[in-house]
Amino acid sequence: MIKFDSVHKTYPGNIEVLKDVTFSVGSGEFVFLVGQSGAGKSTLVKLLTSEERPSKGRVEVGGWDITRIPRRDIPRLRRQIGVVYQDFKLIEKKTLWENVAFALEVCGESFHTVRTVVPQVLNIVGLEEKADRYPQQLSGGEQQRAAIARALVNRPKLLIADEPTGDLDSLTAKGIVDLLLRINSVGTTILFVTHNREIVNMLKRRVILIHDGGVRSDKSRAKYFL
Amino acid sequence: MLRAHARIVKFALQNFFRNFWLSAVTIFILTLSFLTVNFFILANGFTDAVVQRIEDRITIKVYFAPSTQESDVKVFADQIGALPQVALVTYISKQQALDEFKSGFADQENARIEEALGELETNPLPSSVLISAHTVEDYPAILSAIDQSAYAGLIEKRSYDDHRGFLTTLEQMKKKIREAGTGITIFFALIIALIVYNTIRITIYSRRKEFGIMKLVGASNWFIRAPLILESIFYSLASLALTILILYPTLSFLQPYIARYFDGLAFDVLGYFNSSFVEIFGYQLASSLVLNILTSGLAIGRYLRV
Ligand SMILES: Nc1ncnc2c1ncn2[C@@H]1O[C@H](COP(=O)(O)OP(=O)(O)OP(=O)(O)O)[C@@H](O)[C@H]1O
Ligand SMILES: [Mg+2]
Repeated sequence: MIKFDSVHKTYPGNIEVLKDVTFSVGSGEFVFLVGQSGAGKSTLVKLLTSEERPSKGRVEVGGWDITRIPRRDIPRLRRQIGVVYQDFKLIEKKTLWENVAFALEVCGESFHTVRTVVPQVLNIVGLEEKADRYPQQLSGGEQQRAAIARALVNRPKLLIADEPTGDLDSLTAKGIVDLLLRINSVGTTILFVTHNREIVNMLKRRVILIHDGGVRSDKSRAKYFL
Repeated sequence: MLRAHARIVKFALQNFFRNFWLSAVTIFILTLSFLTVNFFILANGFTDAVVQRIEDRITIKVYFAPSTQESDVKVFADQIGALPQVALVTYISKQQALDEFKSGFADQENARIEEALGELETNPLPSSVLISAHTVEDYPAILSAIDQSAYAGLIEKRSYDDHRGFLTTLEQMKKKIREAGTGITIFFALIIALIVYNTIRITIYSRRKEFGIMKLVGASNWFIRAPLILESIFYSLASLALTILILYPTLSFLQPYIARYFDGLAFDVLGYFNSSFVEIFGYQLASSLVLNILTSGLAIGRYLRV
């Protein structure tokens, strides 16, 4: 599902963030991506959605080489990946309902599909009653769940969650983790980016540790230790 | 495809109303621009009306020697009237000239003039022909026709020559006013284009974050661009409607003052707009649509590179 092959990323100003990252994630896996703040985890996510391009190396998603993906194909790539962003990235001028619906609308889904799928997804994240609120009228945790709802709504084959439990109390965080596990159990590949030692240690899944611009360790059924 | 179009209209309307103050400011600025443009159109029409009025007053008046037969004068008038350049010929007989002369005085004085004239055997006033051309440019041709006429020998005096210098000045003035008017209009058009560009750019700039998110969710450029362009069409339509709503009541209020100030100058401000409503506002709408679509296209292009 994901393949990084000697990927380097240098930001303008000669800021070298990733140096030689190689790993791959199979279809249906549940993988933690951990590392210190500033290690380059979000940068790695950006390479997967083609928000940034690798300076060197190769990136593949679902067998599709996106290293030099043409501009016009980028929307098609993004519609197939669900991303929960660290800063949520909800559209302020749209209600929660509209934010979630937008992800379906860009794919040209029918009005009927939108009307039936959006409430289902909002129900999953427990926000059906706040559907008409704007993002500013939601708590941090609620915004995070809204972002998850939007990432889920297209039934993507790959779901990337960048710190999806960052703002949540441990009980709600547990709920989110359970949700992601459920999504994973129906075959969706999950890339879970986090600092949260507790969650990583509890689940005992594969953990990829990014350190110093490369993959420091990559162990299945691992614990988080730095 | 139809579904996508419906969504684009929906998003455009949503943007328009949810960014209410931004929309309001944009419409306000566009309306000011339209009002400025219309002010220039009005000023142009006004200048034309003034020049036209001066031109209308220019005529050739041909005076015949007092001994000339009235029938000869009539034939002359008919011949000149047949020229294609001539708009109107008025024959003024000796008697009419006298009546007109008398009517210029108060009753009291009239009695004395009557008395003075009575001492003369005959009516001393000449018969004359008043000629007006279609346009000022036609006068030279008419003059040469008069000179070549069989009755040229009977003509005592021609009034046109008095106007000649003035006419040349008027023509030059007209040309200069036109040139200056065009220059000022182009200058303002450029300023307005810049203001409109900036307004739309700021509107779009203030929403660049939103566009970035839309792109990350998988929206194509077109899916973001189309509602914005539609929105800018709303801006054009709304501000032109507002302009007309402001312009008409204001002008009908000012009309009598304008007429009075310019001493009955027959310039019907409202009539001027009404007579070419479709042209005047059609061109404005068309150019503002082109301008808005172009500028929003350019501005979006700058902020859609994610
Ligand atoms: N657009 C950019 N231009 C220059 N440097 C950048 C840019 N984006 C990120 N960086 C730098 O790259 C490094 C990695 O950033 P990144 O956001 O990937 O870290 P992260 O691992 O996600 O951290 P965190 O856990 O705090 O989210 C940081 O040092 C950051 O300053
Ligand atoms: Mg990050």
